[in-house]
Parts: sequence; structure tokens; C-alpha cells
Amino acid sequence: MEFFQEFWLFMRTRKRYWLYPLLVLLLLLSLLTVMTTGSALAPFIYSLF
Amino acid sequence: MNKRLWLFKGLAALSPLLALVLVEGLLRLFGYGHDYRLFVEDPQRKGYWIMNPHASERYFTETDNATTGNFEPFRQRKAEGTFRIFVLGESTTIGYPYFHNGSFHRWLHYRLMHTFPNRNFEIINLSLTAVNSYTVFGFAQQLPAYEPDAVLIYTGHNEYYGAMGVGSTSSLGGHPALVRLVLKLRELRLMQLLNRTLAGIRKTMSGGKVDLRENLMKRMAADQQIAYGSATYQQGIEQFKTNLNDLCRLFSEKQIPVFISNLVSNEKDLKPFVSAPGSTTASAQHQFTQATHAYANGQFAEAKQRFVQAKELDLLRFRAPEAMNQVIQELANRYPEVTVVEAKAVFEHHSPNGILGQETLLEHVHPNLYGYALLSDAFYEALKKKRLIAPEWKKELSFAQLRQQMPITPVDSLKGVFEMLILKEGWPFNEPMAPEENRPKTIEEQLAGALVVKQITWPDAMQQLLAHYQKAQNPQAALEVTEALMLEYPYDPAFYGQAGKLALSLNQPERAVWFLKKAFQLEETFAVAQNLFITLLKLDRPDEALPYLRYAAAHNESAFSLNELQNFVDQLVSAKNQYLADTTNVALSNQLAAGYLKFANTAGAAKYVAKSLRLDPRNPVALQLKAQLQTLKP
Repeated sequence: MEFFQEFWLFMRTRKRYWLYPLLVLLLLLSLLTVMTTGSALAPFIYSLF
Repeated sequence: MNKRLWLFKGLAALSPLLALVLVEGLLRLFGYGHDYRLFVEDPQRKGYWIMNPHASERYFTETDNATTGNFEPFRQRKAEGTFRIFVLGESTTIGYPYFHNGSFHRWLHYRLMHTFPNRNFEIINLSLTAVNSYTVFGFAQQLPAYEPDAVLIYTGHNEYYGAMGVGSTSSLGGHPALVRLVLKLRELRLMQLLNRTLAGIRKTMSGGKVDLRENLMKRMAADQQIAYGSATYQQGIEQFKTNLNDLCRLFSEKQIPVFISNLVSNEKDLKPFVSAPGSTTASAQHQFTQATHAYANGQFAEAKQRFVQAKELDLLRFRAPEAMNQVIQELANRYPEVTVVEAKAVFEHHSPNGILGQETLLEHVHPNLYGYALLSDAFYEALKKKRLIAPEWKKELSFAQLRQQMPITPVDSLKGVFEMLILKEGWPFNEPMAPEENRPKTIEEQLAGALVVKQITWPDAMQQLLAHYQKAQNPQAALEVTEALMLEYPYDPAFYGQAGKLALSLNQPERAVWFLKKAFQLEETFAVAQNLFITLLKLDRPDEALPYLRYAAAHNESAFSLNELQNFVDQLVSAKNQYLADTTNVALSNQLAAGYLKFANTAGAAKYVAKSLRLDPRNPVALQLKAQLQTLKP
């Protein structure tokens, strides 16, 4: 129990160890999504084929 | 203490991953997002797979744009003797603008099932409009588990502007490895959530304005121009090569035969969509004009070369460049399981002076009904050459017979015409629609029109058409519609049974037997068995009639005993076998005629009386039987 309390305290005080990786991960996923977005023309030209 | 600190640091660093796993788990638990696997159990038919309606969403950034294809069920447990074919590709592959039986795979199915009446064919078309080799490869990866005997592919025209294509995707479009990574990640519900959130943000920011369609398309198409030989052009070829190469390697490793068709495009009857300005040889329009002049002057070799060049130089890449066909040929040379289907050669052979145009194609790439028949012929010949289904293909349904018999209804045909009128009215064709004729519309036109504007579904249109033909007492047309429904629903015995009855009413007993046998295979019923044994006896095929007669006798729903008939047919089979061993035996021939006559089978009786009289024109028994026959005949 003491271990978890200490860990929780660590997490609260040292956010950079988990918050930054989380943000980087989410940013990476978002970037991949944005970079593979279909152009606005796509839905219109789709109707041609 | 130091040790514990490092442990905390490690755990903290891992916690984002754990958090994402937790979110992913929760999203799945609460049913958020979709499962993208290719097949799901058919909700209407237990024990059958159908294509997952969400399978294509992975390939479209905005799932609202995701196209859906056919839902052709196939058995989860492949039945013995079944030849299973999967079809992959784009709009041409699914039969745009006709769909359903206009598609080449249905022409092929119809021909194969008539060429091999005792084989069961499952031809499952997994093609979608607006997709390219990413989708084809993605679907292909999942196929080996479903025991295909062959895979047929027609793809390449959508490589640039299709879903995830280099011309329709921002930034990463030219990097197949990254695109594939994103496609893989989209299986995650978390990624689906992220995708939808970003799409929502985009929509909010754009204010959801899409009504400036025509102008927006023109403006954006200008940004999408891809010059011949440019970096984007090369990326498209590389994308196609990478995806198809991996597909061919996969199937070759699994020893699954793959048939990839080369691509056909309109050459002479479609001017380039967008051309570079000026009148240099780099201008598509210039090449097209020169080609048209050469054609008019009878210089067909030059015309062909210039027409193809005009297509290559067209800046709007709706037609695949010739480089795609070279890629297909190279793959066939590299992988033993890959065969090139020579659709291009077939189309050229059936086009005036070998130049492709309106004779086989509707617009830039989609074949007309004749074109789809030709495409099916190209695949048929390739399968035959490989001797996949059988070592020898006897009693084939010829191409001419196929064209004559294929159940394409007037509604199917008109639907294609109307669809084309609408398509060509808009960008980039801009061909104004002719004013509507001032006359009442036929039922076929009404139904086709309703189909185009999606007022009714195809099955409903067919049922209404069938009802109309039945009311009009037109069994020939009713049979055509029934056959069309039969192809659409190959596991529904009702359509086969109905087709059998209609064929009988049209005095086409051979065709009736074919339909009724299929109906009986799917569902054994007294009514079908009765129709079958009666028709087979009329056709003098007692040995074939016997099993159906036995079934009918065992499940007799009529007021008459069939035991006497069963004994008679037993004797008939034995007498016929003796007769076949000695066809000069007039006594046996007379015995067969008398037997048939006893059960009022005048067709069977007449056949043997004629045989007897040919051998012995004065045979008294035969003459007496002939006299009896004449009294029976109307």
C-alpha cells in the first residue's frame, strides 16, 4: 500500500515522466491522422469512380 | 531509495501506454467504433459469411465517404466440390454503373455454372468504388484463411485519386509503409475516436459548407493535376507496384492462383480532361486532336499511338497510365501463381482498328454491357488456359450464347444509361442532358429511373418488373427477371424453382431440368422432385428421373400412388440399357414406346416409335403404337 502511495505522490509531482510521453504519443497519432487525411476533393471525385 | 526512484520513473514512463490500452479496452467494452475485419457472419443466414459493411471504413478518412460493396454470402464451411473465387478491385470490377448482374463476375459466374452444371461456384466480389491498391492489398491479406481457389483482380485506374492514393491524400500519400501503418492503427478504437474528433473539428471549422460543389471541384482539381513523369506520377506507380507486389508474393507463398487483368481505357472517344496549355507534343489536347485527324485519314497506327499518348498526358489521372500495365506484366513474370488476364487485347480485338472507344466503354474507364461481357470472357479464357476448374472444358457456353442468354433486364440496361446521363452532365464531362421526351414512360424506364435516384432497391425493382411481366403473360421476360434474381440470390431455391416452372411453360425442358436440379440441391421438396422426374421422363432420361421419383414416392404429397410408376421406371431403365446395347432391336424399342405411352408420355413414346419404324417401316406393333399416339396428340 505504501508503495502505491509513494508512486502516486511521484506521479503527482513528476508529471514530465508520464505526461510528456502521453502528449507525444497522442500528438504522433494525431499527426499521422492529419497527414493521411483525404483531400477535400476526395468525396467529389469518388463519385467518378 | 535510488532503486525505487528508477522503478517509479520506469512505471511512470509506461503509464501512458497503459492508459491508452485502458481507454482502448473501455471503448471496445462500450461498443465504440467498428470492427474492420473483412467478413462477418451473415445476419440473415447462419453458417455463411458476408462482407463486413464496415470493412471499407479503414480506408476512408471520413467514414461517411466509405463506399460499400456487394453482400454475397458464402459458406463458412466450404462444401466439397465448390470452386471459390474472390474478386478484388474498383468500380469497374463491381460493374459500375450497372452493378448486380452487369458486373463481369456475374457474367463469368453465369457462364461457369452453365459450362460446369455439376460444379458449385462461389464468386464473391469484394470490390468497392473509389478504392485502389491499398484496399485491394488490405482485403487480400485476409483472404487465404477463407480457402480461395482463385483470386481475380482488376485495379489501377484509381491509384492516384482513390482512397489513400497519392493524389487524394495529404502529406503521406507517397509513402506506402506509413500509409499502411496508419491503416493498421485505424483498427484501434482509440484511433477511430481520434479520427472522428479531428473530422468533427474540420467540419466545424469549414462550417459544413459543401454546396459549392461544382466550383470547389474545379478549383481543387487544379491542385490535383499530376503531370506525366512528375514526382507524384512516379509515387503513384510505386504505390501500385508495392501493394500489388506484396499481394502477389502473399498469394504465391500460399499457392493461391491470382489472375490480374491489364487495364482498359477509352482512347478515341474521350478528349483529355485537363491538358497542358499550348500545342506542343506535351499537350494532351494537341495529341488528341492529331490522333483524331489521323483516325479520320485512316492512319490508324499513328492514331492509336497518339490517342494513347493523349491519355498518358492527361493531367487529371482518372485513367491509369500504361505503366500500370507494365507493372502487372512484371509481376506475372516474377511470381508463378500470377497470370495476366489480357483484357486489353480482347477489347482491342473487338474495337474498330484496335482503338478503344464507345463500342466497349461508356466514358473514361467503365465498360458498357458488351465491355463487361468481354472482360468476363478475358477472365474465362485465362481460367480455362490454366485448366483450374477441370482439365478439359467440354460443353462450354460460348461467348455468343452467353451474350444471348445472360439475364440482363431492360431495367439494368436503362439504369446504366440514366446513370451515365447524370454523371456526364457534371464535372469534368460537362455534357448537357438532352431534354426529356414528351411521352409516357414505360414500366422499365420508370423502374430504372427510380433505381438511379435510389427511390427503390434493385430487388424491389426486379420484383415489380417480374410482377409486370407475369401480369402481361410474358413468360420469356419473366424468366429473364427470375434468372437475374437467381444470380443475385444464388442460395434461394425459390428462384430456381420458379425459373424451372417458367422454362417448362416455355417448352424448354432441358433448361427447366437445369433450374429444377439446382432448386432440389438447395432444398429437397416434393413439388420440385415431381417436376423433375416428369420432365426427365419426357426427355427419355429415366435413369436420371429415378432418384427424384424415389424421393417423391417417399415424400408423396399427392393423392396418387407413385409406386406403380416407380416399378415402371425401374423396368424402363433396365429396358433402355438393353436397348442401348442393341439399338437395332425393334422389340425393345417398341417396349419402351409402349411403356411411355402407358403413362401418357407422348414425347418419349413418339421417339421410340420413330426409331422402330426407321428400322422396320411395316412393323405392326410400331404402326399400332403410332396410331394410338395420333389419337392422343391434340
